Amino acid sequence: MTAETTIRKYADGWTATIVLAKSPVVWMPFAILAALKTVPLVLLYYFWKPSFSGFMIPAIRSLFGEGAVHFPAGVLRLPDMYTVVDMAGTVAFGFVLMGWSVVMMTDRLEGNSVHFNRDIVPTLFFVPALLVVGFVFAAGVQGVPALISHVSESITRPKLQMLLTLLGLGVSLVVRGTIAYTPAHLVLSRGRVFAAMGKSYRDARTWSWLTAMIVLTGWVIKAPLDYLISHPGRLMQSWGPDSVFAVLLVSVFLETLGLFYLFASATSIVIGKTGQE
Amino acid sequence: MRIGARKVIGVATAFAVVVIFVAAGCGSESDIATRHELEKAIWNAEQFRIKVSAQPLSASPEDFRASVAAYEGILADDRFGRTERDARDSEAASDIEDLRLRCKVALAELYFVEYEDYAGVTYFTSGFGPRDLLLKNHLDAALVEVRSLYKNLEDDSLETRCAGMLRQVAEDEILWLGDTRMGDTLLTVPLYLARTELDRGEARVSDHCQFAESFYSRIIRTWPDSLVAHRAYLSRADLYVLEGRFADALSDVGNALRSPYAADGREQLLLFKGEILAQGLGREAQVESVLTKVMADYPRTPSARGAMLNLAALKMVRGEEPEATRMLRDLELEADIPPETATTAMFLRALCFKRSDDWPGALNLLWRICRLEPFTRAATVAPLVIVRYYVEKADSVATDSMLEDAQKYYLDAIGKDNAYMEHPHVLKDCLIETYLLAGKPAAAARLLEEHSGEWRPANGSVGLLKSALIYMNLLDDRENGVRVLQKCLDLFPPSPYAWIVQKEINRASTSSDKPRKG
Repeated sequence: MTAETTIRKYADGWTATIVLAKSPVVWMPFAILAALKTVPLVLLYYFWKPSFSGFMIPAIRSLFGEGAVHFPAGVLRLPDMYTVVDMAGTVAFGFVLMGWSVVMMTDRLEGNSVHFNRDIVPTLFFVPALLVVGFVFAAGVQGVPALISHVSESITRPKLQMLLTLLGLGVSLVVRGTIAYTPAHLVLSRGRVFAAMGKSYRDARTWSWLTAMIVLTGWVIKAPLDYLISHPGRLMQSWGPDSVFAVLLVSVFLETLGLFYLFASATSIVIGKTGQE
Repeated sequence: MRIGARKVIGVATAFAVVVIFVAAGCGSESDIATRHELEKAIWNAEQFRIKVSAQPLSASPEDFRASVAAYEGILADDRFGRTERDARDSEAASDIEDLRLRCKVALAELYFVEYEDYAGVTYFTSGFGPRDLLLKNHLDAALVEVRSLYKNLEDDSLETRCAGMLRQVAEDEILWLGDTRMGDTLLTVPLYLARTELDRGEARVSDHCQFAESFYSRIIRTWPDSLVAHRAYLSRADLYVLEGRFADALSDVGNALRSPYAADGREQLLLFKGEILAQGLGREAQVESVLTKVMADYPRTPSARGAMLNLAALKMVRGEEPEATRMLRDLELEADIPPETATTAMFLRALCFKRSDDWPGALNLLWRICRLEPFTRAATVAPLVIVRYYVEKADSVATDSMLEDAQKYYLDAIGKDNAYMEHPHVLKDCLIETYLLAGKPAAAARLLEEHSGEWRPANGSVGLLKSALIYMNLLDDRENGVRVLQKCLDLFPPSPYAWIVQKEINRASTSSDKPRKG
């Protein structure tokens, strides 16, 4: 693919995103996703409130150890704890909601009418496939970088530590790019998960520069916050303990925006329409 | 179903807001919630404390005050002090008690720092001599030399607050349950207070001394064979030395030597044992054997060198000056010897010369120390020894001449205060004491006043403060004292000691309002 085609398709991705962003119903799965991502964050931060402590303290203690129920260790470990819980959420409902949104996006880009409740029905057929994709996405985008970051904490050589951080980021971006087209192919191939993942992988290779640009755009939106969250101690000392929670909250919102852009662009590229034809 | 943009955004926002507000607004009556809030409050207080202890000179008095206020606020908060607790959260309730104790310990340490700061800049160090040099190796690590020249210092509220908080900590039964939480500072505070009290010339069996002894004894009883018990033995031994109870001190050092924690630093303990034997018990044969053992078993260590200095001093006192001089010369010639040890050896050698009536040799050596290593302890006291010699000889011409040279040395060294990190105010104290020896306190006050403006704020403000204290307390000249204090505030408004200066101004104006005695 020539550079000109790459740039044209990248621009088409933005056009489709803007068209879809103007359709409130398409936002619905993302709004639910953001809300569902917020709940565990709030529970993890306010675990000590009497309404939550009864079930949250035993849960946190068993999953993350005694230190996590004390201050400041609980706040310092909040980003790590949230990553684990968020991974489970991505597997359980993240991609089901994304699949639903892609069904609506496809309808909207093809000029069909979009229905909030009617579009749930076809999504239900893809649930097992979406769970598999969700697992791969969560493992590659969140799990592997978290694991690498955990390993790099015990390394004292700064250069090696930096190299490992970059490796984690690279894995996350590559998996994002490889999975980006999967929901759209699932909708088109009617739920054959491995075929859809294979096609997504081939698309990512064919449109490697385009995919890189889309993935990087989606990532750049929240990269500064990711950096801040990776140093919760500094964040706490500069702006107080609540800042860790606040930054994570904003990060959830920006992550949702990034996912909207990623799947809107990918869907538009797969079906070859921008919604303006 | 058609859904409008407003509806989607409205529903999502409302959901998020409800979740956050429900969480934030939930009651916080349980002990778990109280514990969390207490942990958070302590963390906030610790942030100020870290700043104060990590950068004591750049931390402002406000940081210090904020740190103290934060801990005082926690201890005054009724929520954390409630005695009736939810039986279901016994663990959290016990944690709360534990955390409150931590606050008391932190506050005791902060009061101590404040008091130490106050004492460090308003008292003189004094009384240097060969007798003190014998004990300095051990005591200086834990204690700041404070000997009051201002015995009429009325305001002891800082000392009272520090002692009061220490007693609160010691009376808290939580401290004595389970594992120990004793930090180095907490172990040092009772000893410091006892020393200050003894230096003020109060009764030997005094309040602080009794408290310190019972505090250390309880640590030893509560956690026998632990590291903290080992340290308590040593602190109690220091206390006994201060009180002149050398046999008890020797017994405690013996206990410390038998502890498994003695392996690290055994030579220092042996050295301390030798110093106690020499100081109080006069068992010269035993002293010699202990010190020789340290020198033989731990060659080229700081303790071996300390033992050699002590042994040389002992020989000097016994009148064996040639042997002492030879040992000191050998020590000075050792490779890689630290300047502090080398100059102490030179200083002792100068004292040997003096005792052998070779004053020109001693004088030459003492000035050489000041030239070669101006920031060592020996250098700071060398001019004192010189001036004292001429004062004792009643030779006013030579005294004035030596005072001039001493003044040059001290002012030059004080001006380079950044190189003298150990006790930044000791040089000023020695300068003052040199002038006091010569019977010229007014000249010392004037000198400090004239030159303080050239120094950095932390240094200059203490110079002016000391000058003012000489005017007020030694010359009974309150007017000039207050003038110099005011000058200090004008010249160095952001100095770390501004609060002490202000305190002295207030004290001076309060006492000037009172009718004079007699």
